[in-house]
Amino acid sequence: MKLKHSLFTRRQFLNGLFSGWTAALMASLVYPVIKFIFPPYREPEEVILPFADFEGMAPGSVKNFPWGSKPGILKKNADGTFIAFVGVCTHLDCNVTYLPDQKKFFCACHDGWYDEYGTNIGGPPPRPLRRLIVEIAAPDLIIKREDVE
Amino acid sequence: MKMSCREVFLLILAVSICSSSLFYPTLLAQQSERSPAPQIETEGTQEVIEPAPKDIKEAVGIYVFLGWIWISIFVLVYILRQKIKEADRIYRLRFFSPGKS
Amino acid sequence: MKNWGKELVAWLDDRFGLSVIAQFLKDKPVPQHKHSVWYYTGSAILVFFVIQVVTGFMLILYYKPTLEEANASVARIMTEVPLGWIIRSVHSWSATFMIAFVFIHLFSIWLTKSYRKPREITWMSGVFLFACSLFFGFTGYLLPWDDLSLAATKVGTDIPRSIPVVGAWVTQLLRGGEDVTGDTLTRFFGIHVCILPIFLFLLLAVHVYLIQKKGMSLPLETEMNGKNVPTIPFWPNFVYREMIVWLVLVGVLFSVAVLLPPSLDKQADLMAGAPEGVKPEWYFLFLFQTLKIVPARILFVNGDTVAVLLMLLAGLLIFFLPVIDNKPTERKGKIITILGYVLVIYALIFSVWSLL
Repeated sequence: MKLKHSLFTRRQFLNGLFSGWTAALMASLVYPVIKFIFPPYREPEEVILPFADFEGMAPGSVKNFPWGSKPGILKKNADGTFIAFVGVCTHLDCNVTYLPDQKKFFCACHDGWYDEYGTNIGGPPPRPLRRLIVEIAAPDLIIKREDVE
Repeated sequence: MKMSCREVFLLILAVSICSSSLFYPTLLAQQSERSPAPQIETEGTQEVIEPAPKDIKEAVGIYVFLGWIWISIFVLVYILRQKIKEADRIYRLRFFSPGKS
Repeated sequence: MKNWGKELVAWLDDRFGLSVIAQFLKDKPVPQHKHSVWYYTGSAILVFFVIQVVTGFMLILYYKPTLEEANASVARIMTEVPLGWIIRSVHSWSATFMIAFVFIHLFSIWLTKSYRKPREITWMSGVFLFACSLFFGFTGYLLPWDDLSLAATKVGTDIPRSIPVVGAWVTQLLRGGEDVTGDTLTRFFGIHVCILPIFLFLLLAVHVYLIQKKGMSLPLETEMNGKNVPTIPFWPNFVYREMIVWLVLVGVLFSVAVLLPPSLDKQADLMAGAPEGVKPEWYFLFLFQTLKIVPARILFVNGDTVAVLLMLLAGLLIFFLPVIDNKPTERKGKIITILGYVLVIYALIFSVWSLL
């Protein structure tokens, strides 16, 4: 079907093509820049520690361990079992502290409280502390991410 | 332009293909050494770090990207030459027209 | 749809009043003659400099300027950071391209005698810009902190010591002490990313302002011809042509950067012997070779002192070239033109010689 008049002039076509292609080129250059500036954060799938460091823990006490660049908290329950958390408050990322006499985790930044199993019980935290799976395979203590097999 | 577009393109293609032989030995060497979580030793026990894409996907991606860059350059240069011809024509018209603006 | 663009421009122009600049650029004439091709060298330098700033902004996000971590941080950029090796390669190659074009630009201004009245200060600010570029390259070269760059920096910062009276003081200023140490690295980093950029921007502002104020110069012979030289408007005619040059240059830069990236040697050992084949970056090779061949003593003076003083004198003469070449059409002017060619041939021959 032949049009009576052009949709646009040759000048408009060339200018549009030039602007469009330059924009595409700029966008394609932005992609590697973004990849460079935002490096992928690699959280470990599991962390293997010598069990000997944690064997002598008193029941009801906690010990820190490195979980990537975050603090991990290993807690020995009253019945002798272990439980592990990522020791980062679910509100705004401050590190939490365990208060053994109160049997609660406390976040000093905005007065957030968690019970001894990490459930959020007071203050702004919206979710419980992130749990990690603990496995004892002597002589190692293996701490794994929950979604990893 | 002194060299025709086609000649420039072929020259660059030839140079790229010849230089790409620099790539693959390093890529292969790096792949065999690479551990899942590479640690950087601050003591400097590694000798020389040869830069190379970390996997074949990245290597292919880089070639595709280079090809895209050069195609874009040829397209944009072509359009610019048209724009130059037009801008020169307009300028000359204004210059020689009776009522110079 | 189209209108909102024009409305936005009008709104901004009401407040900034920058449409005078747009009109100026449309009216600015660029002469067209057989030496016009050199007019492209200035903006070519700018393109590479902008690339340096952008890649520099990116590298500085990961680089750690301390003795303990510098080399490792560059290693991390090259291995862990996505596409880090490409960004570093572009930064390294763009430095070479930029300095190459600075030399070409300087050479072309020399031969066309564009520095003659009333453009003397444009030339002088240009000489300072040239010195800044070289200093950028010198300070940047140390930052990966490997054996070769450490050795090259030791040699380079030792050279001022030969200057009488102030020599030792200059060396200490550069090194942050008697020797090249971690303090030197930190100092060079501060100079490279903060002090030099500020100086360069100020000098560039003066340089670009003067170019607009005085207009594009004509080569001496073209001016002497007396005929009317055809011109084209800067915007859009000349800028479109410049864009072609920029596109091709950037294409070549990316290709070279991706296909010939620089490697990283292991961390420098301050106590180890100098590695073999110590040499500075290519733009210093001719000076390096000159110092190598100078005899230990000339008459009763230290050979190096004579050489360095001669180099400083040459620098001074180059700075004052527009004042010295005040009669460009006469014999003195012709000798200065030939001298330009001689200097280039000297630099080329000595550079190649240093590599043999």
